[in-house]
Amino acid sequence: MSNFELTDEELIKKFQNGDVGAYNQIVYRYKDRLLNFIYRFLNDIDRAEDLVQDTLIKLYTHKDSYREIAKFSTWLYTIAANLARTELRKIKRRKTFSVSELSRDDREFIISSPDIEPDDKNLAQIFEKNVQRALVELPDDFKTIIILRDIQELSYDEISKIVEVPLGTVKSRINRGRVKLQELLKKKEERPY
Amino acid sequence: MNCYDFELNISAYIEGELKQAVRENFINHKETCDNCFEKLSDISKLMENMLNISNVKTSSQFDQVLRERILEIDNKGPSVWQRLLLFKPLGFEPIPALGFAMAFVMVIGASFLLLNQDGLPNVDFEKLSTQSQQKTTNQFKPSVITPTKNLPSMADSDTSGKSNPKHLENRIQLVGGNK
Repeated sequence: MSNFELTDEELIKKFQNGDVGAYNQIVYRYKDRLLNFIYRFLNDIDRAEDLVQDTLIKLYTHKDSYREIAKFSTWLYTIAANLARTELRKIKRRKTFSVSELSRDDREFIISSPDIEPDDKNLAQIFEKNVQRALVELPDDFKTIIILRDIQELSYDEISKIVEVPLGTVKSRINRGRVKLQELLKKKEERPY
Repeated sequence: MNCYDFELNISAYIEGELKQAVRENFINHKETCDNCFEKLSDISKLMENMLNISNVKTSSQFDQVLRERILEIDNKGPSVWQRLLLFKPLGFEPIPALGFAMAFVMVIGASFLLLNQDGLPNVDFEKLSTQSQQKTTNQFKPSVITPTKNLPSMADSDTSGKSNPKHLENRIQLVGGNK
């Protein structure tokens, strides 16, 4: 059976037994998913890419720490979430925001001309930017859960294991997070800049 | 149902997780409260649009950079700690093996000392005990003198300048001395 057909758990087992091809397959499956998760969290694509690298390096060096008591994706997302949270704490501590440090997308967003009539594609892009900006303002606990549920489409059970809070708390935080996010978006629509 | 309860149940309603009775209350409130109706429709729209958010992709150099970093790790080899943890003497796990080795060394050391008592320096226990007795008597000599509570006043004292032993007895109290 080729690596393409194997489950994540089978792949990590093969990798634990020394099959580097299995590791490459895991990287192929997860690199973009992890990037999306971390990027939505940090709002900085370059930093997010570095953290995806760090996550995958951790997987490489700590492969034996994984035990098949949890889903592989849950374990990997936990590593990524911890790294992202640590990075966000560092950023907040530094608090040195300058134009040069804005993400690629932010720069593009600032340069774009407001005279252009927004079509559907532009509307979608504006919505995306607004969501991204609103997510940044959301408290970390809500942000992680909202990204994992509404963007990464993980199950409540998986999210509960990743963020290490009870299922009921996850559900209530998701609800409160969505309400808060909607309020922030509404504010942004009223005051776009 | 009031507006607060309505807000708490929005996600559960959208995801179809509300129980029948609560669901009916929720729907009733939705139809009577414009604010809550608007909030519900905004959040459902938000959830729908969130799923359509475009995915960002890793850059073209991502794989290359990762490969180089892994190569660097492979060339560096495991750290001292990793090597220690990976080391399995006679197939044992490192920590129990280390504990066993330490216990073994301690047992060997203790038995060596016990079996080679002749080699230890000679100690004259009799001399030692007399020395320690002398020390203890020295230690209990009065060292602190404190005035007693019922000290006679200066007016009571003898003005002749000679010390009266009876007065002295009353004036001082020996602390820590042998009775």
